[in-house]
Amino acid sequence: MTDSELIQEILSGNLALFRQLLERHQAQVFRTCIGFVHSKEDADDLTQEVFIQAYQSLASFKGDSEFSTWLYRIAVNRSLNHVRERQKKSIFDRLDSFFTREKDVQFFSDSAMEENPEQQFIHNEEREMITKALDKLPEKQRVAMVLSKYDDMSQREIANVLNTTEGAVEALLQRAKITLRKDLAQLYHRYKRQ
Amino acid sequence: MNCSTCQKHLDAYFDGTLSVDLKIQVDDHLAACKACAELYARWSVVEQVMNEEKSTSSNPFLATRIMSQLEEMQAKKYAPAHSIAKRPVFRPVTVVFIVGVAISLGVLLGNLYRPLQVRHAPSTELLYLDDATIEPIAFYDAK
Repeated sequence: MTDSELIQEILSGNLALFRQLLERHQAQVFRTCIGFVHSKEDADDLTQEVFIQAYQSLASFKGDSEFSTWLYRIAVNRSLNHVRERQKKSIFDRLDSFFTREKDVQFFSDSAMEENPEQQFIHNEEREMITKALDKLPEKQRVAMVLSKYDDMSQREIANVLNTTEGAVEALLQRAKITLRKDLAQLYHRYKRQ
Repeated sequence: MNCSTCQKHLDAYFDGTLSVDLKIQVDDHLAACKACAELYARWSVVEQVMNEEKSTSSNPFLATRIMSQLEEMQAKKYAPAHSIAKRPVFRPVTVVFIVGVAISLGVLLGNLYRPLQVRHAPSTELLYLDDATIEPIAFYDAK
C-alpha cells in the first residue's frame, strides 16, 4: 500500500494501519530529531510527538507534496521548538540536561567503550565542542545541515521541505560549513589553551 | 592544488564521490599543507560524531508506545458516545437519582429501627422475698 492509500484508510477509521506508516518513516524522523537534540531519549520523545501531531492533523494533509516531506516539516518544526524551549530553561535545568547528555554520549559511542578513559575523555570533549558548534548555527543553516548530513537528503528534497530553491539550500549548506569550521577552530584553540 | 580548491573538494572527498585524479591531488595537498590537514582532521571528527549519532537507533518499543497512545486518545474521544452516564445532559439526572436512592434507603433503614425496650430487672429487695411466707390464697378462700 502506498502512503496515500494508507492515509485514506486511516482517515476512514482504520487506526491500526497507522502502524505501517509509522514503521515506514520512524527511522528518518528519529534521525532528524537526533540531529537537533543529540540525545537518544529526547529524540525518542520528539519522534513520538511528531507522529501524534501527524495523526491529529492527517486530515489537513492535502497530498500536494510527498507524505515524507510533510512529516519532515513537522519533525523540523517540533525539533526547533524543543531547542528554543531548552534554550529558555533555567541554569539548573541546563545543568541537568548537561549530565543527561553525558550519559547519552556514553550510550552513543560503542567505539568509545573500547577506548581508555583518557581517550574517552578527549572523545567526549570533542563531541561536546562539535555539538555546541552545531547548536550555534543559525536555524536555517542548521536545518539544511541536519537534513543533508543526518537524513542524506538531496538539495532538491531539502528545498521541498524548506519551501525554497535548490540554490538557496546550496548557499545555506556552504555557509553552514564555513560557520562550523570557524566556530570549531575557535573552540579548538580555546580547548588547547586550557 | 591550492588550499581553497582543496577545502572546496573536502566534502566530496569524505563522501567518496571525488574522481581518482582529484582524490590523488587532495591527498598530496593534505600531506604537504599543515593547515588543510588540521582542517581535514577536525572535519573528520565532525563527520564521525554526526555518523555516530546518525547510526543510533530509536527505542525498539517506540512504535508500540505511539500506537498505544493513539489508541488511548481515540478511546477517550469516543467514550462519551458509548457511555450515557458520561454525557453532560445525563450527569444532573444521575446525581439526582443517586441522591434519591440514598434518601429512600435512609428512610427505609430508619423505619426498620426499633428502639430497644429495656426490661427492668427486679430490684434486690424483691429477689429476697420468700413467697412461702406470703399468706396462701386458700386462707382467704376459707374465710
